[in-house]
Amino acid sequence: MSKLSIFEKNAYISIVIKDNGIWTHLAYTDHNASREYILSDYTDLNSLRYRLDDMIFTKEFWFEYFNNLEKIFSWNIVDKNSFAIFTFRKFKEEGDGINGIRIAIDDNQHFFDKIFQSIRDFSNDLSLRVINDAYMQSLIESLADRLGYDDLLYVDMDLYDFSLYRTTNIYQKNNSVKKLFSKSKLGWNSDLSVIDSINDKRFEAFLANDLSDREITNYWSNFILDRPLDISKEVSLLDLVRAYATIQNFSILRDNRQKLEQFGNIYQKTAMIISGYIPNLLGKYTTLLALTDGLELSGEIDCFFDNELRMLSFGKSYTYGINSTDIILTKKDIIPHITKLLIPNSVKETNKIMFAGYAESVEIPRTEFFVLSPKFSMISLPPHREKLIVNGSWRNGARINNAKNEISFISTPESSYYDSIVVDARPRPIIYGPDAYSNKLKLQQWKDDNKA
Amino acid sequence: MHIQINLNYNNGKMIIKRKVFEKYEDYTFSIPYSSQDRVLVNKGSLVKIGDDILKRKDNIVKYSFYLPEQIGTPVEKSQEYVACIDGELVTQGTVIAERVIAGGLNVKKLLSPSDGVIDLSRIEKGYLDILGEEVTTNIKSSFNGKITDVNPVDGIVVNSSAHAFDIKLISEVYNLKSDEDFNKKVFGEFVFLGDGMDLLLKAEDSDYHNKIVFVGKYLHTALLHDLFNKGASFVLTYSMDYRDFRTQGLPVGVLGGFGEIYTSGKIIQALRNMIGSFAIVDYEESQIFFLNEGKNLQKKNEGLFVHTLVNSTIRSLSLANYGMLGTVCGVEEGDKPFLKVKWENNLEGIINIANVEFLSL
Repeated sequence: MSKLSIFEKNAYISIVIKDNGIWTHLAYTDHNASREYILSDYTDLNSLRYRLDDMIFTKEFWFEYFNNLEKIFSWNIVDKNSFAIFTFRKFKEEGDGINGIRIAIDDNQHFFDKIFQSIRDFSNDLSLRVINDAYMQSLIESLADRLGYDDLLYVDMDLYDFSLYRTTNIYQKNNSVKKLFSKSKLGWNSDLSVIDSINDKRFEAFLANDLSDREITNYWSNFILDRPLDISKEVSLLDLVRAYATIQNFSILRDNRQKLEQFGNIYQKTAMIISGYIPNLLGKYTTLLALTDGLELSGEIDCFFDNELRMLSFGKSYTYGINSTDIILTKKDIIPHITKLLIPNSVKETNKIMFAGYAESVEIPRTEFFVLSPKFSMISLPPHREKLIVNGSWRNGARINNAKNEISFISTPESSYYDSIVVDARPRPIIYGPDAYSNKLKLQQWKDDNKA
Repeated sequence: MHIQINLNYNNGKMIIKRKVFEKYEDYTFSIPYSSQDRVLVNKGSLVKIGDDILKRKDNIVKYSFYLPEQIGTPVEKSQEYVACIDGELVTQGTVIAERVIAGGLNVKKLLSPSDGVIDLSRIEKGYLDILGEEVTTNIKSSFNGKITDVNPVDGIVVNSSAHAFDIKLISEVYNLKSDEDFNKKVFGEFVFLGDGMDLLLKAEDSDYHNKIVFVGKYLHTALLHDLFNKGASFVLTYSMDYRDFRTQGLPVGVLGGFGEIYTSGKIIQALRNMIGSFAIVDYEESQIFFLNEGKNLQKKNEGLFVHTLVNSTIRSLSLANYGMLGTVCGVEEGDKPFLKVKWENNLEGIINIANVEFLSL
């Protein structure tokens, strides 16, 4: 494909097949008119989980899929001739045609070969990629460079597989930079093993609900087999998933301590990209709680929740910038809003202010906030169109090792938009247990949703 | 006025329906036979419902003993306590299994209640059978199909159309180790116990050999053992307790879910249409295949995707009414669209679109 001019109009589809789901993004750009957007769709394949390996899931599926996608996006994508043969429409204008389609399939996806083959049978005009360790290494290393982070952790929390990829800059004496990449994974190979994983005594230690053992196993098994896309009103299920996420992360940390230690404490520019089915269910606050306790995090970390897998889909195109061969995208549609996670290494006292700060911009008057111990507190920053300055400092002995007492950053709507701060002001060490009731009381004590 | 709601109302998401019964036009399976049996069909022949396909010689089962209950042994160790060999002719009063207990101070013995032949074919499941006299039965076809091969290794290989129903979990999958195990298939006539909605603790006094038994809404372990005592090849249930499912050690398939969940009358009725069909439980596919062209479900080709939300059939995944079927009668738009639903129990309510499964019945 010829290299595109940055001013050329363009439409490109990126599809990611992962964790029994299809994420499709149609990106459109017209840089002359400063027009750029991404249309997104998610299709859950769980209903077909028994059929992914047989004749029902064939190229016919993709015919029907793209037919429906046209309606969802209100975009002419395919042409069908009298022999029922599909061809992709050449891009003409906004809403009509595309310049290319890329499909990336996670190598953990069940029946990977069958899905790969069905796409191959469907069309040769598609560009096929495999999301494997090498792909992830190249993605996060280039994202770390482009976004300006020295230490970047990609956390993918799906029901069956938890994968952590980390890239760390090592500065050499001759001012060159060496990148250190590591991966840590934990996976279950079947529904049964995920269901039975909750029989682990350590799982019980993180639970905080009043359900009987029978109810827990019945609810959990139904949840694993049905995989609903929303459980926000099911308090007991949310608690099971939180405990599961915590123990999974904790197990990964235990097995890979050397690879994960000191994350958040080496560099000030540290970030975490969080994606997968579980963060979508738990939401930001609970996901960060599960990650903080499971991975024993500390430090100052920028968190990107890639709920729609846009970073995974278009991350490479973004990092190539004007050298991209598929589509040239800017930050604002790919990079999600950021949550600043602040976790001090030590907090000893309770009922005292541990962190205090303010946010202000030309349009927003100075708004103060503070966090008391023992809260795990989420502070939503006010929506802003101008740059928002956020300043804060640790109080009463709380602080991050090897870092200044003051925390200061600027939220810039066009590039780095911070929508919230999470401060962990719980005294160390964090102790769960000895039973679910104690955990329930502790979680109630920790929870504190502030709004700046 | 009928309101058409197009896909854009699905919160910009495409939704795939789960087909409760999936029709397969070319389903190939094989019926095993032994050297004593007489095959009545040839390669290439077409069989119709009612045609004789096999003359099978079998011994009737006079007694079945579940050793974990009789002498308190774990299922997987039952073989170690058997005091006779497979095919041995035993007389009344012969010790057929024994177990030393209380540190050698006591012995639990199981005596044969009559003369007969020992059958250890189900000992891995904990059962020891005593066979009686030999009978010959004509196996008739309950399907239309083509015989593609007949050989002692594969058995009678048949190609036919079939309807498949997903089995959420099969208990024995835990113990399967080799590829051969995963390819395991259980054959038999599909039968119902009661009307499918009753909670039963004991099966009718029938012979369940070569039968796949659907017990209805909930399976209690007492009923499970009773069915296997009476020779059932496989037991299906709509629901059961997960812990019982995990610990009982017998071949059970769960169709609906775990715990005391709502049992959909519509699904039970759909399964009822399959009574008498020749059925195959396929472990690898986790599906039961019904060969019942005569009872065709008259499915129209609806496609995989949900095209209109209104009038769609859904199954609730919410804990409040888990498993209940309903019909969508309206949509409330928003970031997370809510569906107005008329449930099977005639009540109306709203539910988050992400908390349901769309079905094609």
